[in-house]
Amino acid sequence: MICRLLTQAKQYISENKRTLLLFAFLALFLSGAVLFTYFDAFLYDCPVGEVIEVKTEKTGIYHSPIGDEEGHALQTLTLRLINGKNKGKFILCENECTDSGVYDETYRPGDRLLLEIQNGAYTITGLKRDTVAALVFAVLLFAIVAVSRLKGVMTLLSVAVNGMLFSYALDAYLFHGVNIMISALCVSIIFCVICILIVCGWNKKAFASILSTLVSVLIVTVLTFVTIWGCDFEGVFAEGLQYLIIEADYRFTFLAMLLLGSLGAMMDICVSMAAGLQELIEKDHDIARASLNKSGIAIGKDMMGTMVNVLLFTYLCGSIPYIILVYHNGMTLDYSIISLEMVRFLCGGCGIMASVFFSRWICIRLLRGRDQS
Amino acid sequence: MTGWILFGLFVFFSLLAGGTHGLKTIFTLLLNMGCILAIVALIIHGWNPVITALIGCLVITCLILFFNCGINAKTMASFLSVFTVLVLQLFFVLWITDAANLGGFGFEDLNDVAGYSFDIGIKISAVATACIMMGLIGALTDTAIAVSTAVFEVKANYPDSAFSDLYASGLRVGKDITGTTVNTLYFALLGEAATLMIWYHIYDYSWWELFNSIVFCREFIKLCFFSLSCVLVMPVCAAFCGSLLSGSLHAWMTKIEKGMQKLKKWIQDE
Repeated sequence: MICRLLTQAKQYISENKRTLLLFAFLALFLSGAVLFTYFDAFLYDCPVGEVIEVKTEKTGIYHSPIGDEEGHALQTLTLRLINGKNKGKFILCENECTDSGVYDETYRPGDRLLLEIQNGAYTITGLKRDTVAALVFAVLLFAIVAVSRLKGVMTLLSVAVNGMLFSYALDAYLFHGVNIMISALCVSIIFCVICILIVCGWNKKAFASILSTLVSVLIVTVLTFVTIWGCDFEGVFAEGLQYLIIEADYRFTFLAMLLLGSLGAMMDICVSMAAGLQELIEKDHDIARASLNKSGIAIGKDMMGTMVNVLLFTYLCGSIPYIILVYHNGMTLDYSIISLEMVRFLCGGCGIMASVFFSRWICIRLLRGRDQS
Repeated sequence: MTGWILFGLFVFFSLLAGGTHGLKTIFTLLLNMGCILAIVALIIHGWNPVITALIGCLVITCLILFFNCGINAKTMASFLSVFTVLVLQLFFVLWITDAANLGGFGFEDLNDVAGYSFDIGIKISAVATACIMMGLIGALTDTAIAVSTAVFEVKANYPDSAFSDLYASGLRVGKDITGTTVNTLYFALLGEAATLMIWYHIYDYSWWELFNSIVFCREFIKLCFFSLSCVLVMPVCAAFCGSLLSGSLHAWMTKIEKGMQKLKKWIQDE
């Protein structure tokens, strides 16, 4: 059996030489990029040091309000600077750490740390993580290109463009005083129209998709905004945010970001629905509206379940460390952070459900027209 | 109050979108939420976070697959592929969360967590791994179901399909789903990064402070892992389903089925 697999593998390699070569090249390029982030300390403004030696000294056992034991320690780190004027110099730093590491980090030899100079002495700001992030992202990129080929790359590109537009809208708001809702709305409309025209071309299907996306986005934004504003933003914002952000209408910013972020998912749903229904209409021009409706519901079913599940797990699992922290302090949840996550989830969920419904309703009417009987 | 009204809106739109299936989606959602909270309760009581999360993931997968779709070859194949990808990912996730100290809170979270004692006696990097593993399940299971549904549909319509045809059609469906999943995950990332972005803009962080901060890396890497698992499960699931329906595994399956029938007959005769 192994011989058979080997011969099959050889045949596959000889048939797909070109693609495999491209993949090998991509893998090499990505590995090079990741390695570059490992050696990119020279691009940093702040001093970066590499841990050579660690001396740990236990400083005692502390307890949480419900009695958990936690050992604290003091690390004396010997660091060698790897960038800047003092490259190569050895310095000593101290780092307080705990067993669990909830608000601190334990360093090991070989870690690279970001430092800053305070009052003439070096203090540790944090761990240099860009290599790890780059590695995970490179693996993801390679996997997406390997499995999804062109479609995956297009998706990533659209996400990147959305991100840039989002940053642009934020810039306009923060530094040029443009109302965030208006800039987010304009950006959304432009992004939506351009993306869908690129994917579908200039035809009825594209028009139906654009219309359904814009209608769902508008309706969901208005409804959620009215709800949140009507309840006086209760349960949505923790007190802390008020001190953090100076601008008075940060609440609009929150909603604007929901709008921009949900755009991609809604567009996807609307385009899929329009494409699916268009295919059915092309096969049979006189197909009855009722059966189109039925197929539309079937198309929407799978998309609904997937997306809503993804949203739930992402938001809920992000809250877990906070839940654990609260309970180990002997308190119960005061619902401030959890409700923010839940509100985001519900807004996103509403957006998805609404776009499934509106795309089906609008596409059937636009693409099919009236029943001839 | 806000939450309840929004929940009402959510139910309303779900009914519009899918009728009774919309309600079923909501019910599964609540069930999943209950499972996750049960796992969190166990972790709070001191169980090992990683092992509890892994077992919990399998339980949630069973619930999603077998409750919604019943126990049959399709769901068994999906379950096996989910299990494989989970195990593969586990080692990678463990290594990364340890190497980058991803667990715990950063300076930017201080607003939310100030006032709490941090001496909780649980290793936070294990909790971070558990969170990522549990978060994976949502997208992973749905992708697996979609791929296996497509493959089994093709087999049902064209009973003479070879392994390569089944595998290719499974992968084709997967490609369409990638866009959906990546967009949804991006939406989630944007939501979490919203306040972060404002902070960075106002306090004028430099790019290296941004890319190395624990808060950014935590969210970014978590979402990369979610996408990665979805992308990995597609070929694995297509291969499992394809070989189950044709090729050597199929021969084994038919032999097993014949053996089971003989056994039944023998029991009935006795």
